[in-house]
Amino acid sequence: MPPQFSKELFESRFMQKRITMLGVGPMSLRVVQETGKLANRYKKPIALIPSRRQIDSAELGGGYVNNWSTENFVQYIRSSSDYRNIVLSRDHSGPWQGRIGVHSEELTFENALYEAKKSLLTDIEMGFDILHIDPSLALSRGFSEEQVEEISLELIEFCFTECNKRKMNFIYEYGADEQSSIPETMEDVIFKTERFLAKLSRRQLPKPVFIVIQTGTKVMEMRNIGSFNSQLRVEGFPAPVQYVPEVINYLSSKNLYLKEHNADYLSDQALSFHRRFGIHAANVAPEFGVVETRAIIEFLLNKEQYRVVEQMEEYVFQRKRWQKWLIPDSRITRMECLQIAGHYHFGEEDFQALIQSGNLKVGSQEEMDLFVRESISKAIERYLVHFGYGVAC
Amino acid sequence: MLDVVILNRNLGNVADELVTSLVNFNIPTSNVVVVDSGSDSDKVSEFTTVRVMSPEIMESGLRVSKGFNLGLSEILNRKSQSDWIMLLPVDSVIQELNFLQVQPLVNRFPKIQVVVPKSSSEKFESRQAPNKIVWYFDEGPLIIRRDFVIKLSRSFGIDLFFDSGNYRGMYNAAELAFKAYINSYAVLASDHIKISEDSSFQISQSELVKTENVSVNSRLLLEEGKEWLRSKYGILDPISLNLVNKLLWRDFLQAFPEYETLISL
Repeated sequence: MPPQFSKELFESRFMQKRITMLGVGPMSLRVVQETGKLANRYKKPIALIPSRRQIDSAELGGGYVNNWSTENFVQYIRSSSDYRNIVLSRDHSGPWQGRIGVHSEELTFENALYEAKKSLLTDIEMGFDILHIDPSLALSRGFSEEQVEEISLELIEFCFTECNKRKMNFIYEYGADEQSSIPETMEDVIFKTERFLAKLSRRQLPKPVFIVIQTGTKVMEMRNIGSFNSQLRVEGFPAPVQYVPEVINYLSSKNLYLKEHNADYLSDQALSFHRRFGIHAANVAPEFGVVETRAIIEFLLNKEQYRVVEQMEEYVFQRKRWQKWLIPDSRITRMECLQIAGHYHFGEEDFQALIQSGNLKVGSQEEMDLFVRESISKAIERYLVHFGYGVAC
Repeated sequence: MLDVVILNRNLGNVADELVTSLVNFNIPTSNVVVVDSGSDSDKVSEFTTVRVMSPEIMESGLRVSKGFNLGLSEILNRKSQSDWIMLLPVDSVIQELNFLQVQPLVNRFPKIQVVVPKSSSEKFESRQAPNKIVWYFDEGPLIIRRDFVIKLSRSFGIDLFFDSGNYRGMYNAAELAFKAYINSYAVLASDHIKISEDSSFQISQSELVKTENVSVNSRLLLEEGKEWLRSKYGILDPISLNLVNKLLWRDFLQAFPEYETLISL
């Protein structure tokens, strides 16, 4: 069993050394395995950050990644010393955050809340280290900000009680940046944080360790279109050099840490700002799925498996999982659809059979596996280097 | 009193309106200098003071650094009762120019050498106040103390207030902040000065102002600006200059804490 993640561990191993903790989306079995290897090579914790759509409680139908449920995913991670430096951090848990397509009809609020609690309870029972409480999808269903805050408090109270019953630490992350790519004004950040902390205090609930605040990152298609990644000032957006340190100073004064979401595809320059600004933690997810898919395509094309790639394109295009990533009015090719959304289907037998259907020579599957793993590892390592993970062993 | 320099390229009518609009803001101006940066003859402002018509400038323009240097030179060669010089790109849109409100502040706080409009990202800061000493501001209109221009230019000639080698003027604002704070001076951002730039000329009428289209211009701004910063200061990452300015600004406020009180005025 790995050491339990704690605020003290985070402070001594990351905060005091001004290292940004990396959260990796478990986009596939290979991404999970390569993350485990890198965490061991760098001898520092990396968080795996499954969303509920990726991995969920068995009772709720599991997730699309490797057909894992929360239960067998955690058992897989915790049963092997290969993952001794892995922190398990649930990403975006809240009503309506579950798997798309499991329910034919939109869930009522009561059912969505029930499922959110069920999912969180499984996370607690299985020993997740950090839970991200995020009911922000209620905003797009007509709930007000204050109502969403109340839902958060209900979920926090629920988790706190369940953890107490089991004599477990309750460490959580609060907030969301998915609704907008525009950072809030400092006035709003301060107002909302103070209001939330006051409500927690009144109910005698613990403070979060991490707060998610929009820093100017947003992932669409296969790039980061947020202002954080722009070297020119973007009208209506704050200059990161001016805004982000202000946010961090404020949060630090409240003994809270900043977690940045959607750090995918940021340039080396933008990544290098993370330590300089003192960003405490950052999540990257779809980029690693895209890297894996691209590496598979590159390998197959190099082996002249054109027909296989065409069939993969058709498979992914028809299933439309790429749609949510499109920039409005964007025109993308089927190949780009495959690159964007191929990873959603890695857990499907038919798609795996398709990838392996070519007339590759003996040994080529192993060669492809090695090539794909190297690509994934290199992509993750880029973040580790910029975030200050030091030198690999 | 203010002296004013306007830099025009092919937007004569816009420059004329800008000059005329100054009257509306009740600003006592001593000199208004319109520098023409290689406009076609039918697009020159009627208020033009200095016109450069060499083939090279007709083709590419003076651009910000050279253009404003020329205007500053013209102003300094004239008799003037103004302590301050305002630099306006021709596409400036003035919403508020209440320099008379700023005047008592800059008299009381003589280390302020530059006055700028609030940055468009100021609302994202925690220190909100009508007037404050800043380390970060947008490229665009500036009001500079005449003495500051003379002090920084005298040794090398006026051509060096802005670095002519910085062709497109990228990072001019950051360099100006650096020049202020490294010399224990300060930059004031004030709500009493609200001037923005109308980017539509650059976005949709780049041919009219005889410049590259917006995407090419953005790319060149970055490439050339970075190369200028690297070759002049050895700074590889432009954000580093901002961070240096922030350190100098913090040091300035520690050394001169009375300037923090500006926030409450």
